[in-house]
Amino acid sequence: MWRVADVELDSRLLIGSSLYPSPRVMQEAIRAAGAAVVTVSVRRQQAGARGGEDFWAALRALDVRLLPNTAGCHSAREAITTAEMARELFGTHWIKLEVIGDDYNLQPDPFGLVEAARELVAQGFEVFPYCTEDLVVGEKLVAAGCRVLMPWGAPIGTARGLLNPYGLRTLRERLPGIPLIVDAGLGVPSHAAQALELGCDAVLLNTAIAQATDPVAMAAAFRHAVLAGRLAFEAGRMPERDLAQPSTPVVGTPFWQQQQ
Amino acid sequence: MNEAQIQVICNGAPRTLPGARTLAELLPALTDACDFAVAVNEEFVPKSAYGALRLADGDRIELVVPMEGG
Repeated sequence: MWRVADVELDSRLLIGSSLYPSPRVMQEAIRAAGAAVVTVSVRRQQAGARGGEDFWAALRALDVRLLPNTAGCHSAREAITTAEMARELFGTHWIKLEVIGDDYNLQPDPFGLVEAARELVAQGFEVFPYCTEDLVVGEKLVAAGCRVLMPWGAPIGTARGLLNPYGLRTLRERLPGIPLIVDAGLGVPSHAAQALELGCDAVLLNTAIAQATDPVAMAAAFRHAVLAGRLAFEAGRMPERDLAQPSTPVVGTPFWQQQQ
Repeated sequence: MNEAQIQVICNGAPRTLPGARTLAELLPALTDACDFAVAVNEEFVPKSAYGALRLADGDRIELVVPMEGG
């Protein structure tokens, strides 16, 4: 169990609901991941389509907590209005706050993010900001009232893993009381394990599971990786060293002769 | 254009609607979704305000539904 936003969660794996081959595979993957939190979005209803209703029915059948996002917003104003609509639509005050600053790598806009976070916190939202691993941005978000941070591992959908482990470690050390959820850029379970090993509290991912050849099996793989990573962090890793040190006792090595 | 009508933009597309009507009265013409939320001119409109908000010519309406997300 771990605690985020006054809630006890029994899984350190948060999962997205997008890009699965079908709503049924999404359901099975969420179950196999053991995820307690699932991200969703709000979008315009497509003309003529009963937009996303199969997906929505499949998701409602699961006993999960929803984390709506403000994906695609490019200004604090857009993100705030989107969050307000999401709060009413999904009946939750949790919001994954995304304010995109650059369309090339979907990098968060730290200025818009802080501005929107301040306003949404004042409105009673629990803000989960999708941010970079920049320490000062993290500190500003906490000062704005965020009680959790979601630094990226790598740009969304790139599957490159943790591009800046040093930055994440620094965030961990400087903000020890703030839950850190590495969000975006993870590709394989070992990336998730690494995030947990270095002290992050959880990971949020979507594409790595949804676009795997077998999303359900990959969801299970990520569940195990997150468990392993957290256990390793709690166990305390050995220090890195530059020089080799034999693990087998040297004393009593056969054939060893004292030099004449 | 008939004076009794207004031109609005709903989800990016122009729509002609009867004028002097509230959002609550016009919604059935705009969506058949059960679960949705609305913003008008980039401002969120809570459900409790649908009955009082009179749509005006040129209003920009966003009408959103639950969708998958990452």
